[in-house]
Amino acid sequence: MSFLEMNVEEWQAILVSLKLAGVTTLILVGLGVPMTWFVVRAKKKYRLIMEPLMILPVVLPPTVLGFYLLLFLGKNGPLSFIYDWLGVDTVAFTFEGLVIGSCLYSLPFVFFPLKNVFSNVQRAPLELAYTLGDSPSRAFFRVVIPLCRGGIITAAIFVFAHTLGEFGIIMMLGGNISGETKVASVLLYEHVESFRYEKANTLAFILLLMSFSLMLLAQFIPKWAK
Amino acid sequence: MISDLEIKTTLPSYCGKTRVSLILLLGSITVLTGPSGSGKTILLQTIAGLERPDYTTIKYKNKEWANAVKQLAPYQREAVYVSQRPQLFSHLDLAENLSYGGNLLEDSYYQELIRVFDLKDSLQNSVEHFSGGETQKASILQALGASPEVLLLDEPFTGLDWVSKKKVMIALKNYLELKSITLILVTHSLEEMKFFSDEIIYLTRGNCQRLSVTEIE
Repeated sequence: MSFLEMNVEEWQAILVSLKLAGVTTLILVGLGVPMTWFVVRAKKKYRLIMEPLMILPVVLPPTVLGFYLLLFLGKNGPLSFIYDWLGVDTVAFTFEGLVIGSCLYSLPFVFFPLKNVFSNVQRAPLELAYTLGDSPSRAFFRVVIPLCRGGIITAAIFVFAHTLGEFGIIMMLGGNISGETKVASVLLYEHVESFRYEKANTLAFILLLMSFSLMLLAQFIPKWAK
Repeated sequence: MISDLEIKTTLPSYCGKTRVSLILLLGSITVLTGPSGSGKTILLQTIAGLERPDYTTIKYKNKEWANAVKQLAPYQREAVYVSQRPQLFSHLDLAENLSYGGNLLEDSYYQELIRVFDLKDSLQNSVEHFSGGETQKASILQALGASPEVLLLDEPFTGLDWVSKKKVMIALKNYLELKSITLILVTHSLEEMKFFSDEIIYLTRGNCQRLSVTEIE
């Protein structure tokens, strides 16, 4: 096993994995955090529907999600009018398509840690913010986010780590374009299929090292953030 | 002084379904007292917009804070409420807490108030380890920092030692007069009632009446 013997395709696959994880994390922190807050604060009758939708990707086979996304994002899908307007054929089998699939698939990894953290936010600091002149959305940014920053960082780390290891949905959506949609986990699978165990071992070890480092970070950063 | 802050509401059944109808003069100080569970806190929270009992109408100057159709959110009202269990934002230092609702830290009268409240040297400190008394004083200052036109204080002096309490009460009353702020104060203390107002609203389960301090005594 030697990192020095890694070829361009392998380095590119790792870079695509990191880029996908980074973009997915940014999008999910930007959208998933307020979405989770909205769900946690919603009335019970609405929560009963919204919560299962948020956690569905955990139990759904990635091939199922990938299949529906393929139909949805494909040339003849409901988004085709946007493609005409943008002058592109489809976002399936592109990096952008991977990002959409990845965001949906990793949504529960924002929802689970933040649900607990947000549920623990008491009424008192929010009421204090309201009475001091904050609208609910302003109080969310000025009070909830700072009070929950440890949980938000944990969620971001989980999303990043989970996206690094994604396989099924990427196989369904991303195709196999080196330097564009081929990620490290897919290349690892190709190496194993072709009995290139030495190369597979190197990639597997890199992914293992990155995932373990992220889990270590998840232990320490939230404590530091407090 | 011009009128008015008009409040008409029916307190919830666990407070005796008391029908409350009050007209308060702007810039006045009104003391609200009565036995525990009579709805004093709910009434303050209703005025602040944090509670929304049915059949509530609140009119402030020419603006309707609450009527049969809609109720304005707390941030749309010119009132600030300080709870009987005051809280500060633990992620902010004292100066940031005081300027949360508006920045009066450069105002000389406000600076004087901070000095009298003995919090001048703690401005850059974290509020996480503040004592109960310090938190109470800081909460009053925080509320005043938001430049309210109506200040709603729920037993704000209970955790203060008698020396601090006297200083805080005098400085607060002067500041309220100076800035023409309307105060509604909930208290059980006769000393505070006498100091702040001649007229008292006495709330019991099922009844709300105006009394003088002598009648209370």
